[in-house]
Amino acid sequence: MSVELEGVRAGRRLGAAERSSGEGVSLRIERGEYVAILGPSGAGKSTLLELLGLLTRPDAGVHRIDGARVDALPDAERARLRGRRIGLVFESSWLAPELSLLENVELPLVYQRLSPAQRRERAAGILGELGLGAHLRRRPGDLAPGERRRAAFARACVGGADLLLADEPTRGLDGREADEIMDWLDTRSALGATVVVATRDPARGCRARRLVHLRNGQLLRELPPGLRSGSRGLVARTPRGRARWR
Amino acid sequence: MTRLRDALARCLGSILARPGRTALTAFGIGVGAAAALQLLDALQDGPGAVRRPAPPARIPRLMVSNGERSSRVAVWATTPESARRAGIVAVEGRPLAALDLRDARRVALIGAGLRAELFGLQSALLRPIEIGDARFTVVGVFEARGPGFGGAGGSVSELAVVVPESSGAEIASLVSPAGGPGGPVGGRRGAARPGAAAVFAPLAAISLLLGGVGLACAMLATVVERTREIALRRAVGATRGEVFGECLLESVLVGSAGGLAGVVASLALDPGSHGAGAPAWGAAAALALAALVGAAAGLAPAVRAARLDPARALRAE
Repeated sequence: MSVELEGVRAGRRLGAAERSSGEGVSLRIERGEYVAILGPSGAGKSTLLELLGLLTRPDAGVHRIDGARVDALPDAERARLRGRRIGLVFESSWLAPELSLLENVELPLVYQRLSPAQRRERAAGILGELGLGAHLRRRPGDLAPGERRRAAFARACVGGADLLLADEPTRGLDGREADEIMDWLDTRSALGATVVVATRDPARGCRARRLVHLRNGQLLRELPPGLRSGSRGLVARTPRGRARWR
Repeated sequence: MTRLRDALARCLGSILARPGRTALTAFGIGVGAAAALQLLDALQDGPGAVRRPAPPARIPRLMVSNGERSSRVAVWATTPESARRAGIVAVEGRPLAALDLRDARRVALIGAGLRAELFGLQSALLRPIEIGDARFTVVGVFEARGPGFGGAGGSVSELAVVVPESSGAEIASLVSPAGGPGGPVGGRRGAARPGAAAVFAPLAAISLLLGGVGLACAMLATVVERTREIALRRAVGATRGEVFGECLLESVLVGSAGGLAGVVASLALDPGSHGAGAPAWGAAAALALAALVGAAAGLAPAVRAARLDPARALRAE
């Protein structure tokens, strides 16, 4: 899935008019790209992901998916698009505590109107791929954080999403668990999904091929992967002029 | 179909996850539905409504005499229609007539057994008899060929007297103050029905209203509690309409469950008032009313659930 934002503003942070001349955020992500959005806390990363995930409507600007405008679509069509093509993983995993793991992962398929048998088969299949096949009937509360995060990824991917959005996917996980999550993202990317990850820690766990910096709701200059901030810090152009990226 | 079943399963899950709240809420609606059912019954039995005749008032055994011989027998105060349906067939003279009822005529049908006991081989027709202290004229002799009046003790023996409902009330008023020969008069429901409407109409209205308000509050609390779950459902593809529908369905289910409990309790505690063929339409109407109250109560919470901003709900800690 290719995604395009043009002069988008949303919420208090993203492309906020009082912080800029008001031109908003513009970003183009090609089909199959693996993008990391970097920036300090409060930079608008989550808002950007919510925007890309069709959870938030832009206040201004144009949002296109595969070349078609989606910012003005009726809610039902945005919901359908979100359910069938976009997988979201939130910062705190967000599994429904009263549902079993299997039921949590089946949830997107419920709204795709699959039969219970098909839902069960697909949800159990993807949970198996993520090494959670033994925990199908357990509640999220009974699982380790890494397992919960993997279950959240299973739910994001079970509907066949070709845009995967993850907010701080490795936060709060130990090194091995984080590696498992990053391997899974690599796999989805290799399978052709467009992957967008938001994180405030560029040093860790970010294997993206493209880095996008966000600060105070504005996109800063993009860096090629591998090039990290040196002692001078990153220098980027904002509408107000030059700013330093610590 | 799959969609509806999923929605039902989810609603049931949500309802059963909060059994205490659901039961309390449903109780309020149940009381309302029971009162509504009583009201519907009372309205049917009222003077203007002839769809279902009043169940007869059975005046406990009274002394019946023709001046020579006497016998203590059951006296049924009823309507011509009820008597016909109960299988009371006049084999001599005539059956009860509408005019007997309208004018509260002091006429009586006596059972064939009682006729033999009091009058032997003589004719009983147009002969006076005393029922308690009241003087009646025998206009017919009946045989009991049908199911009786239904309910407990509703079968009619041929050692009995049948009088128009309106004049039965007179006997009762004659005998009841002193606790006369018939003893205290109880269970005279038929004559009491019109007054019941006045009691049950405000009761039904108020309890349904309060039940509905309670349900609306409970549903609002549920929506607030489930904010994140609802946001999650929206995030994985549920539309506003689907969220709205599920919330409304839950409210209707709770309302109907309460209504069902109320109707069942009402029928179980008070079977006599509903006659042999319980008024299915009355129960259905009371249930429908409860479901309607559920839908009305669920409206505001459902709108709130549908309008919820998933992004904000998922981010809030």
